[in-house]
Amino acid sequence: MGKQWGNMLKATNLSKSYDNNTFAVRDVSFAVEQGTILAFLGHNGAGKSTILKMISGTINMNSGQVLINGSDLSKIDSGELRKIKQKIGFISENNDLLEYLTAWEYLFYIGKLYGIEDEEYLVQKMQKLIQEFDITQAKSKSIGEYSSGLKKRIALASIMINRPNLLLLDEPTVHLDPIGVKLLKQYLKERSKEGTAIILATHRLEIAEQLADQILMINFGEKLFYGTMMEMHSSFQDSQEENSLENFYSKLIKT
Amino acid sequence: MRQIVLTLLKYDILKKARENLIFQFLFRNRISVNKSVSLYLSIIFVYFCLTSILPLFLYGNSEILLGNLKSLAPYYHFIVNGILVLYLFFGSYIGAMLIYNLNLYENEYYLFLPIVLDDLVQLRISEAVIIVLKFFIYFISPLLILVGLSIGWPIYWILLIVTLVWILMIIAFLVGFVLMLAICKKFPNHTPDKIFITCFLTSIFLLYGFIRLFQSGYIVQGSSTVKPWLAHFLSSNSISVWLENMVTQPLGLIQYLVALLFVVFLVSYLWKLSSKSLYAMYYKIHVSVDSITNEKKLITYGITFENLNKLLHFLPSFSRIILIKDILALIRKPNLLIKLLVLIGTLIFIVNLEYSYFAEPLLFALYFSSIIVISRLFINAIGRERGNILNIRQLFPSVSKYLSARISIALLVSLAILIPFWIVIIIFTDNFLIFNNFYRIIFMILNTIFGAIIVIFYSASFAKFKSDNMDTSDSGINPVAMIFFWGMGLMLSLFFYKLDLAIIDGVTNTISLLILFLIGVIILICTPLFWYLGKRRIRNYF
Repeated sequence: MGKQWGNMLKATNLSKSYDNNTFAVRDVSFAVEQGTILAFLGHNGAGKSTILKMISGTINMNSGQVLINGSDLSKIDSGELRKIKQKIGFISENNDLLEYLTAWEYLFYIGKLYGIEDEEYLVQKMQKLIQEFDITQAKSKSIGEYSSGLKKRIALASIMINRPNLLLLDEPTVHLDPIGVKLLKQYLKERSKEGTAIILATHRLEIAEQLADQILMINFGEKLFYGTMMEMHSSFQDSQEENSLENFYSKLIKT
Repeated sequence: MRQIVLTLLKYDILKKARENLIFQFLFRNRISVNKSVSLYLSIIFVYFCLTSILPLFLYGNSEILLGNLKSLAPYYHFIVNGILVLYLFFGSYIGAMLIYNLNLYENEYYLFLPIVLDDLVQLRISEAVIIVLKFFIYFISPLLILVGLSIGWPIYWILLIVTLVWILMIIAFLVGFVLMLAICKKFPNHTPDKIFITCFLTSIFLLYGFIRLFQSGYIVQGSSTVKPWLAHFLSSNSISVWLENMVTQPLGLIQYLVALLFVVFLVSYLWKLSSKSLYAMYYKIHVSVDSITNEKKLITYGITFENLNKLLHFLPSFSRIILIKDILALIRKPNLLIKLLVLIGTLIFIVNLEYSYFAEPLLFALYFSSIIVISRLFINAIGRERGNILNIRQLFPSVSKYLSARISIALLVSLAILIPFWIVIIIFTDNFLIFNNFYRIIFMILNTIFGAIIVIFYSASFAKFKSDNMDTSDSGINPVAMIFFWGMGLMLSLFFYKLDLAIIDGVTNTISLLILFLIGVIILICTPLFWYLGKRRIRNYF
């Protein structure tokens, strides 16, 4: 019997270096509970995507520990890692889709990779997602022919196919138009309420401000701040400045 | 795991099928995955039946129908042993390419999906074996069957030899694959493409040297018994002889079963070894791959760019930028160069073994490879990624000025690459058979350049230059353009080769004249049309 899916991801002292002097990420720790949204904030190249890749098992870390539902990613075998990955939804910054497939075929493909054997169930699920994400001409148009915004929606639909317990989103709003962004925010809030743990890496502070319960600020691979939004707001108590994430971020960067 | 790898493989087969031109023409990418894959596999099967099985049953042993096939019979040993050597190199080439492509974005993309490194390794090895099998079906099995028919073997002997070569081919392939991975592991500071070229050329030169020495008698001087003994040993212990013996003097059932068990064990062991080696390679890269590595590469690229920029400061700035970009692009993508070296090396080797006079096929090979090199550079020059083109394009007052600068630089780079390449071939052939005439060199350069200019406009008229969608990556070239590219390259090479022989050597016959006339007419009719279409297409792109 496999383990039941737990409610937490815990990363401790994550480090990633390419030689002795160059660190992409250094000693970063955080945790995310089920039903909460954690936002990674930082400039381009700060190490946000690297952390996402490490916790999704896409790249290996040099040191540190990632526990997903109590399983240590560096100690489990391939079979167990595959099972864990089937419960994680990952979207990278670019629209990495198989452009020669139609949206319908792509969703079917991803469904199969997530290990969904029951094709009738898979098709029903696909139809629902296609409707929810408003993907037009899903059966007749190849993905390469869609606009970037629609490609992003297809990517989002694809990771929802298996109702992941953990969502990892790297710059999810890139390529989306305002309506797409609104749709995404609404969708993420709903998933969060249903208990999905979500980590999103973004440099759009307003998105983090609207969605996140916790924030992790990173600068050149090192942690600047990790805490809840409440903690962030409380730091402005004695300050004349406007209580906003933007001001908080600027203040930290300056110091 | 099996399920995941099969799913990945199924879609990978589909991807390859959809990149296939005939497939695109027939199905236009609009049928479902299952149907597409089954149709694609059916086409391969029908092809196999038509080319291999059908002639076998139609002709059987009939002496009357065989006709010219008889001429293949003496080549049995050369073909069977050659196939195995070819597959050994094939395996090492694919092994080198898999390591070379480790950093490709596609690999990382796969790991974003719910699959693990093990699945990816299995996918890559399965893909490689499928390529090998397809090549076997397309070319090797029909050839083997024809050889068998020409010798006059019964059908079941032929089928048995095809099966045996098929098994040995997989073993040879996997051995080559594992060997290359092991060698690359020993030399972590050298790129796999360089290692492959070195191994390939060294083995070709060694074999070539050995054969020449053997033929000239130096190797066995002073001993009249060694040479016949060596000849006898090689002729009675080569793999082709073993296979022939196994087929013509059938073994008992138990012996077959033991052999089968051994082969199954060997193949599964080699497969495991390949997976393990590739996993270790992937894991190593997997640990180090990330944006910082790419950033470091970009920094190195930037430093090289700056150094070249300083070195070539006497050139006008716009031309300098394009020239440096072209040179760096070529250095960073050595695949084309490897393929050409392999092609030329193999051609020279085979031709040298079989003919005393090899100038004609070599001349054709030279025309073909030169036209392809120049055309590829031209296509690179015009079909670069949209963003890059637009940035540099803005520095020029007009599109035509930009294009002429780009094309003239591509020409210079091509010549700078081709001239040393031609010189190497002259030295290699050691008797100047081809370049005995100064006019031929001039004629050849002019022909190659003219041919390349024609090819590029033919290809450009079909290339994927989209102006309506800013997000579409235009770095690739439309496969329809590629078929014109290769087709025209081949046709023009044939044309110039025949023209060359007719004008420089005065070698003409009815067939040569007919080929010259037909291709000439096609070129005369089509070139102005495609030239116009191509130019319009490129202009519309900006």
